[in-house]
Amino acid sequence: MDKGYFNLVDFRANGVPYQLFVRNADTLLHILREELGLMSVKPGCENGDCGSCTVLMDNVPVNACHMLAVEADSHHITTIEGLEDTKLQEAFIANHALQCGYCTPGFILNAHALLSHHPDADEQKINEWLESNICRCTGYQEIKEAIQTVQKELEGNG
Amino acid sequence: MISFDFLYFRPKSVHEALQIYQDLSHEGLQAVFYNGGTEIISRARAGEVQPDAVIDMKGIADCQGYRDEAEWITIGAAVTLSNITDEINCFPLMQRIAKEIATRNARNKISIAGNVLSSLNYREALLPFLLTDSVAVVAGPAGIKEENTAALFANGSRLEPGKLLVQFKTEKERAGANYFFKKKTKQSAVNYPIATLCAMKREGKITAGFSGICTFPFKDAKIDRILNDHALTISARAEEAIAHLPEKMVNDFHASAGYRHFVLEQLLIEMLEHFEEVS
Ligand SMILES: Cc1cc2nc3c(=O)[nH]c(=O)nc-3n(C[C@H](O)[C@H](O)[C@H](O)COP(=O)(O)OP(=O)(O)OC[C@H]3O[C@@H](n4cnc5c(N)ncnc54)[C@H](O)[C@@H]3O)c2cc1C
Ligand code: FES
Ligand code: FES
Repeated sequence: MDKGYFNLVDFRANGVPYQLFVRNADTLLHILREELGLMSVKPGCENGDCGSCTVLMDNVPVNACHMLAVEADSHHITTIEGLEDTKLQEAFIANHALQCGYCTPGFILNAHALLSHHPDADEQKINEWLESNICRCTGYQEIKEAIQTVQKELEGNG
Repeated sequence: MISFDFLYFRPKSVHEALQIYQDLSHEGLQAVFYNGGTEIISRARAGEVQPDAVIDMKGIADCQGYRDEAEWITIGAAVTLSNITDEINCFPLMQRIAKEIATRNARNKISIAGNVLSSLNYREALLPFLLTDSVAVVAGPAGIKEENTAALFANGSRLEPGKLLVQFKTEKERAGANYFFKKKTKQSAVNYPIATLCAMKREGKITAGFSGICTFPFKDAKIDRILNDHALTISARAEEAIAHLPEKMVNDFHASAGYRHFVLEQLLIEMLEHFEEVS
């Protein structure tokens, strides 16, 4: 093993600190799944087109297939395993916003970041953010409705 | 999965990045400058490129951020397209174009330099810099130079190996000019353009930029003269402009050259009518 082809990466995944010796050429998608066992991060196109591998880096959605693991150094990564019993997850179930579920972690993470940055996002903003994720089963409307349900609940509580 | 190994460097200054590049070259190793990395990763995975080393530019302060000073806006080469759409309000055409490149997730990573220096035909983020006669700040072994964007990237040119893009500087007054923008794709909104036309009008003169039509993005002085020739009707100006493209129209699986011709003609007419109405 040539150490020049590896680097020590210090990052947090779902709040847990990790120090990993990773291959420079490995994507974050690969490391999250194969080294950390975070299997919710789904490989799809591996070309930045489908969003199934969406994770949050410092609460910003990125495609883990289009990022080297070494780039995660000093950052906070969130996968769906890091979100527990959120209103958004409940709303996805209540609004039938999933069928096979393959795209769902990506959609929920993206929507989670959207609502934390723009709690009152209008339809245009929701469309702009959700455009990153492709769903082969639903008609997208249910996903949008799930997000809007949470927005209404937040408004009610505010 | 990327099937080969490479070295990874994260310099803190332009000088250090250039030094790393030179040292690797002396050892016979081929390095690439890396920003968002979206294109390098895809191409490496597909076996289209096989660099020995990547030099990540994101840690270099001069390549980051956006400065709004008296008469100039400076945009760092590592600034992402999402940074542009969210923050750079005094350059509305740039914001509009950036918003229609790729998806939000991808734009959170794609850098301005990565788009401008992409190996693809489109490089749409170059258009606003061409139309505003922006200055590109380029660093190389001979030092840091300010170059005219249109001259530097004429006829599809990119940078010579070993040179790196540090920033773009745009006159604020030009950045804020009245603009027209339309992008036509084959089917879905998120796709490469069959034709992108953008234009600005300053001091009564239109200047137009094109992507998707030829194998590189461009503006052309001859075409601008035709578009401003009021002795011709609007449709004659559109036809004449198309007759003076710098290259044959692209004919590929996104669209035939004939269809591109049809789309571009409609876009040019719409743009000319738009500016006529505005004035
Ligand atoms: C889903 C998707 C949709 C897309 N749609 C469009 C579209 O509609 N229109 C369009 O124009 N493009 C589109 N693109 C292409 C995208 O804009 C380019 O691939 C761009 O290169 C990505 O930028 P990056 O920062 O990730 O580049 P990187 O992968 O980091 O680099 C790309 C190239 O630029 C060079 N480079 C980067 N920074 C520097 C620097 N500072 N100095 C010198 N060289 C440098 C690299 O060496 C490399 O050759 C799309 C991409 C994706 C993933
Ligand atoms: S697998 Fe990453 S965007 Fe499709
Ligand atoms: S629920 Fe099956 S892909 Fe979206």
